[in-house]
Amino acid sequence: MPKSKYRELLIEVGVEEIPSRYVESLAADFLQGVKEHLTRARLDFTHESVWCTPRRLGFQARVAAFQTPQQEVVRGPAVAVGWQDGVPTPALVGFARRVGVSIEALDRQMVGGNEYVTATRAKPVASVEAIAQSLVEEVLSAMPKPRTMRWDESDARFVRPVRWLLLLLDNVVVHGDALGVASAGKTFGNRTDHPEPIVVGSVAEYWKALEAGRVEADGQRRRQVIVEEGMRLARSVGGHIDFDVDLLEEVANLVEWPTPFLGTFSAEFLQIPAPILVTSMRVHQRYFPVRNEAGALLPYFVAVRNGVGDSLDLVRHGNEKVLRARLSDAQYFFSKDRQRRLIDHAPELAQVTWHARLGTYQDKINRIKSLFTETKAWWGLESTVEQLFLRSVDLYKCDLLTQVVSEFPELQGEMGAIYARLDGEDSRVVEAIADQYRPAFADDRLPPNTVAQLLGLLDRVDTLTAFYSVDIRPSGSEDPFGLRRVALGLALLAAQTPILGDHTITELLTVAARQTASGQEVMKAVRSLVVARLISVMETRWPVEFLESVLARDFPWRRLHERLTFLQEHRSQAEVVITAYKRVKRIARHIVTKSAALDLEAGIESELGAAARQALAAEENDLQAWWDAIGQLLPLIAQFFAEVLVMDPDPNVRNRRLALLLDVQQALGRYFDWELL
Amino acid sequence: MTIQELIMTLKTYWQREGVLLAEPYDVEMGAGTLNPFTFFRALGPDPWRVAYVQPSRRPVDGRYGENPNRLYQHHQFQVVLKPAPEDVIELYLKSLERLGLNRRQHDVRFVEDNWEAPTIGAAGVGWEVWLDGMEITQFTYFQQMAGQECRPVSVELTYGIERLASYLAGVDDVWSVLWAPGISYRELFERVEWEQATYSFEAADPDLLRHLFDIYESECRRLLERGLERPAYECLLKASHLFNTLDARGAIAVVERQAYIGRLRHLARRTAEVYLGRIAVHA
Repeated sequence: MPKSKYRELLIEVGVEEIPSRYVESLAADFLQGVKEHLTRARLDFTHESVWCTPRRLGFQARVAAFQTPQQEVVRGPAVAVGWQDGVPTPALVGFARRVGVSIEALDRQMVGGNEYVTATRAKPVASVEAIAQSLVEEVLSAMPKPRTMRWDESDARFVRPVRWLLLLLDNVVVHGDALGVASAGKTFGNRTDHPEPIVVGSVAEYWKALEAGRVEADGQRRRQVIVEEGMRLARSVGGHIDFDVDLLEEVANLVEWPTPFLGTFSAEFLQIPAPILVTSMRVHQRYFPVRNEAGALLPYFVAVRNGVGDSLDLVRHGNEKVLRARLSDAQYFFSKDRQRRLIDHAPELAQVTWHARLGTYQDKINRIKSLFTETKAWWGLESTVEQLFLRSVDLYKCDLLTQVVSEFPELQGEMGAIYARLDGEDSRVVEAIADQYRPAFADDRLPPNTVAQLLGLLDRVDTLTAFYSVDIRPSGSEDPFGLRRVALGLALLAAQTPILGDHTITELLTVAARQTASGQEVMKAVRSLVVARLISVMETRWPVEFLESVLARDFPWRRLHERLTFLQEHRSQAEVVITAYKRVKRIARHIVTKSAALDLEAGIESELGAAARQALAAEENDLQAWWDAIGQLLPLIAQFFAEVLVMDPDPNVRNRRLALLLDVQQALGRYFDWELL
Repeated sequence: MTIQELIMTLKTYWQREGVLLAEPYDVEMGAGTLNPFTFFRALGPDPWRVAYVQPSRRPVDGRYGENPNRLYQHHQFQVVLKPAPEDVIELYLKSLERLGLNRRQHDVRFVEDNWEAPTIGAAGVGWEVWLDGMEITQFTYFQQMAGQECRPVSVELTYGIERLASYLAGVDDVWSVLWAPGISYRELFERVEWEQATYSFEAADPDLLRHLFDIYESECRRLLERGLERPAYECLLKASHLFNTLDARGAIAVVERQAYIGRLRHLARRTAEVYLGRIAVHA
């Protein structure tokens, strides 16, 4: 396409500091919104790009100089009115003139039983300027937005106040407005280096202005600068940075022009446990901790300032001072905490509410212990290990009462483990406290010992059944207590550790549901949440229908992999089983009562019954024996249907045959729900 | 720069921006937002510009004068601009420059922080302002006050005086900051901090405080019936501070907490309604 047919469209919306966590999603939504708008407006475009910093949302594209023409059909008078004796009436002549179509070119169309005159003409063409003028307001208003606010009498809403608007077509400033702001030919640099407006008259000048105003529009590039420069600084003191992806995104979106710098703190603070230091730096101050090759912290951090400014020394000095105050606080809290043993806090858990409707942490601990007592035989623990488990239950929430955790709630568990270790608790107890939230995601590390696995299992089972029993359940995007994550952890513990042994999640949930005085409904609802979470993490490796088919049955999930593999290997030969299963099930559902013993008729009935029993009798984990028995069963099913009328007029006969079919159905579907495949 | 110089500098700066310079309110409160010059004036349609220092009491933050930065009582320099001017961020940055904090020499960052005060049904959107990594100001566009939508929107700038002063003095803790030449913060407040913390955490009588809370609550209602919104509001402030002290004393069970907050919020809403009813009649 010749270049002259295209124009460069550039939009910049100036906003007061957008929260960093919204920057990237706003950019994506803005791009999407503008593209959709241009498409709807029939304005072709290419080379589109979008950018977002804390203070601006921008879009640029090469757009067609003219709207793509489109025809429309306009309805005129009824044919009966349009002509009299073959002569066009004044009404028709008027219509033709108004739509700009000659009378010969008019058409006819039936509408609701009447024939009308119609004209086909080109739709009126909007100028690119006109499209651009209305674009921003419409796109911004329609965009999905996070929490919005009002800031002036226009009552416009956006994530933060909109303060300027720049609309350019090549070298023309287009007039328009959006969210109460009129477009003008100016932009701004970053607040540190270039607070005054910069006059902009063309797209080329815009990019020069950003350069002069020290604004890096590209978020990817801001990150890259932080990583490269941060690493260089860390290396200068013999260290490196393990960049935390979320922190990197946050910091890159807190500035328009990143200037990383190195700061230091007194090596004395390295005596404070590393998680406290890291949280102080990362969460409270948004600093990147510097580590040596072995991964140990060095007394340095890398922080990022906005813009270039005059001197980094004051900024560095200020940041070091703030961190020093934070670390002194942390040191104070840590030494206060160390004045008591962790277990000394245990009685206070009776005063700490877990959830208003579910009682205190002590209540939770009591439920976990009684769940353990009821299931004690399952776990086969030696008495020393049992004592360790009970100790870990007493200890795992005690750090809630420590000062460090009340200051840094995200360290709950991690701090408890540190204090427990310092108190000389058994390493298995320490690990159980440390890993109480693991696994938190699909490939997370699993708790390494029986005590830790059992604590994780019973704590989660209690959490889920307790919340479900008071009808607090995740729905849609609502999951304020993170129950989906809890369910995921439970699923992974059951499937990836040996802890549940030959027991099933259903059995365990049934006992737990009884404890919270809730019944089958709660048990089933929790089970289906846990199954759904398990499927969600395994569906990249296995077809969803395999997972659903296998998980429709109750079995110890440590066998999950085995069953999936078996299904995968036999799936291609399973069509006949599926057909037979569906057919049997369709008929067997008519059963009225099932008597304990079936008095089968000699011949095919007995043979079929024997074959079904054989398939059901195969040893639980010997899927091959079952499969072989199914091989025997299939021809008998066909023969049975060919020779026997199931729905016999005699109700006794009918019921017996239906009961037989129910056995057959169970035999066929013993390991897999074939209907889900 | 001493604390009194800091306060005078901010007052002078904002006076030139046409704000009314008010004095601290004389009833104990947890934040400058509770001062009637903010609480009432953020309601209703009339423009308003005010600045004042407000001593703010947070019993739960008391540390017996032992912590470098945490205090039972700190001082806020509060500016309220209604409607919010378009260049309010620049106005704010220039006020820092007046304190010698040139933006080219420091890193000023606006970090998301959406403010909420459930006891008075207030909520806003804004930032914490970080100066070289330290929070020095709370910057809020009011969206709601006493459960009422704010129209027009006021912007509230709350400078933390102790934080700013210790930064400007180049010291790590507030105690060595000078309030006036030769008079340190320690001299003025160390003993007071110890006494107030001892009172809040140990000596306060929970039964008495609860009883007083009930009394102020019913007095607030009674006064609202008679349309005496200011005395009623002062009862609300008393009740609010009693709640904070009970909280610090560890005398409020988690389950009671929401109920107390709900009672305060209800009083705040009723007070706002009485006030708005009156100004609507006078308009």
